[in-house]
Amino acid sequence: MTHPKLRGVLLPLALLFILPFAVSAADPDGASLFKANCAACHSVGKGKLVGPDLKDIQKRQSEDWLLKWIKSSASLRKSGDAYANEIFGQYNIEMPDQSLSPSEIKAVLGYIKSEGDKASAPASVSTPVGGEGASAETDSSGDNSFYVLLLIAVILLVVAAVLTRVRNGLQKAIRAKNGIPEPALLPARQRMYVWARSNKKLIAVAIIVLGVWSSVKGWYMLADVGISQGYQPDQPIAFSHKLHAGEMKISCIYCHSGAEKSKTAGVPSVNVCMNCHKAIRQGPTTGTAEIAKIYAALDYDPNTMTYGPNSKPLVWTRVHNLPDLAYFNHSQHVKVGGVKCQTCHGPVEEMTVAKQFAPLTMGWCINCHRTTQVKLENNHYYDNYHPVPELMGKHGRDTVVTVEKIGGTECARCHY
Amino acid sequence: MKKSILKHSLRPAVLLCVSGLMLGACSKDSKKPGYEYMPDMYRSPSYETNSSNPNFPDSMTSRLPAPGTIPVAYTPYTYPNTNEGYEAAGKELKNPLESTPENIAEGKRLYENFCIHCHGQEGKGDGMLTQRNFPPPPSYSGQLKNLPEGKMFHSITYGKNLMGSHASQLNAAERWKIILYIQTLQHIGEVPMADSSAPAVKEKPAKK
Repeated sequence: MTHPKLRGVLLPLALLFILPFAVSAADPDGASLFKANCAACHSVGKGKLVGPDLKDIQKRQSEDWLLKWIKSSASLRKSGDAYANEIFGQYNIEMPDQSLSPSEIKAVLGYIKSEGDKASAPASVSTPVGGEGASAETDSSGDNSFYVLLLIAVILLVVAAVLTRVRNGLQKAIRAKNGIPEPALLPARQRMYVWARSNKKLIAVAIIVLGVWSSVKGWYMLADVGISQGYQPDQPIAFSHKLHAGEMKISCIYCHSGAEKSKTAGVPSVNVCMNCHKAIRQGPTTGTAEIAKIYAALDYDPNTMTYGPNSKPLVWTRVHNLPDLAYFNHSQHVKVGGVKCQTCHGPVEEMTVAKQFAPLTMGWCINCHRTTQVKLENNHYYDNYHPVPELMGKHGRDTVVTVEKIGGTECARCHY
Repeated sequence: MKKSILKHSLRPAVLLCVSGLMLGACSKDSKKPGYEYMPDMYRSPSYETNSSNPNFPDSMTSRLPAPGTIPVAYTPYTYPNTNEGYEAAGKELKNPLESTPENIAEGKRLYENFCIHCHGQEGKGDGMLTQRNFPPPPSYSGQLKNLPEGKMFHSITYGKNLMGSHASQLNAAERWKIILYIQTLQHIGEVPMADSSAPAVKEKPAKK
């Protein structure tokens, strides 16, 4: 019936399908099976997640029971098994039936046992290494340099005082040797007057230097009024953008999801933190101390994984704050304009503590509006807003449409 | 004259150095935002989105809609957050959006912003965070291959197992767009197989 040629093709094809399964059946890999089927809900020695911690599971139940439970927990429960019903009562969630062969289940159990033994062995405490430690060091050395300079100044003052005394002593000795009588000690004011008369040039130079220096310094201080560039306040939780956005590559929008939809990018509500920190209870640099502050704000108990009634908001310190006399809309810039977060906020993914990167002055806004080209193509926002050819005609041969050309520097665009 | 300047300049020079040092040290404190000119124009009496607010007992300016009200253009999700609700949503709930290339592309963009960290580039549960101690979720093309779209929507809305609710970050339309993209990930790797087998079957009778 089967064509011989066709059989020649089918047989290797069938073998191709069967062989990988045959190999995996002969030597099931407990670690990868655990990762694919169990790890989403169970840990080994790291506390309970959705289901119980599986460390020492073999000591709690026989292998026979475990085989039945993993195959189908629901049918074991319906058979009236006391422990199965107790577990269901505790977690109130049905463990899905696992389509694993007995040998695969045994491999998984073997993996759980070896991991459990590893977990109960004295754990080596991982020391925080890297970014945060390094930046803390540079900070403290910055503080030190001021004290070093102060110390040098004090030493110089002492040296100056000693040298003055030596000079006076020597003058006195010379006068005594030559038989010149000691000059009558003039009152302090007169002495200063005499000194000033004999040092006119020095005083003139000092006045000029001080005058120039203080006017330059004063100018910059006045120009700095209302500008908070470089503002880097302490926050209630030592949250590191470098760790979350930099190393773990969590996108900005994940937490600041308002940036695409509303005027404000928004500080994430604590429920967003809990999307990960329900499972991650220990950080690589600060251990449990900082994550515990999230739990405290939510009145959440990580051991029972339940929420209490006394949650309170976390009061973060706002870093970027435009004056209320200017209107700024995030969605207009992020969604319509396609501006990258980093354009205004700088390399946040490298900041351990969030810092104001841009000056946020009007000149800074206007400069960007003058030079930035509007992305009109495939941008539905401008479909009914400005017919593009008309706009091109209005601006002659100049085909570059900047924000300024569509009214981006009009006063009432931002101030109303 | 030069000599006298050198001779007498020691004390004032030192004083100048020290005073310069002290004044120079009064640099800007990065923990403080600095001075404002006319703060009454900078800060209006209205409350800002995330600012604290003494008018409410929980001190938050961001409010939930009043109980019993429905925002404009918002469809309430009626399935309860229970195992039964999950099953019912899987059976009854259908995607109101069409599977157009535009919707799938937008779903992919949203997936890469909100899901990829755990579920991974191809939805195999191998995202960046699973390499950093986060328990890996099941694979879309593996255990979750036949997961109905209603269950997906239910899970994104309420959360499922270790995954938290993403309803505060994604509105219903965005969730459905992501689901359209996930449905392509459920069959990832299958498409080339189907392509290669289809011509193989067709070729045989042709040669015959």
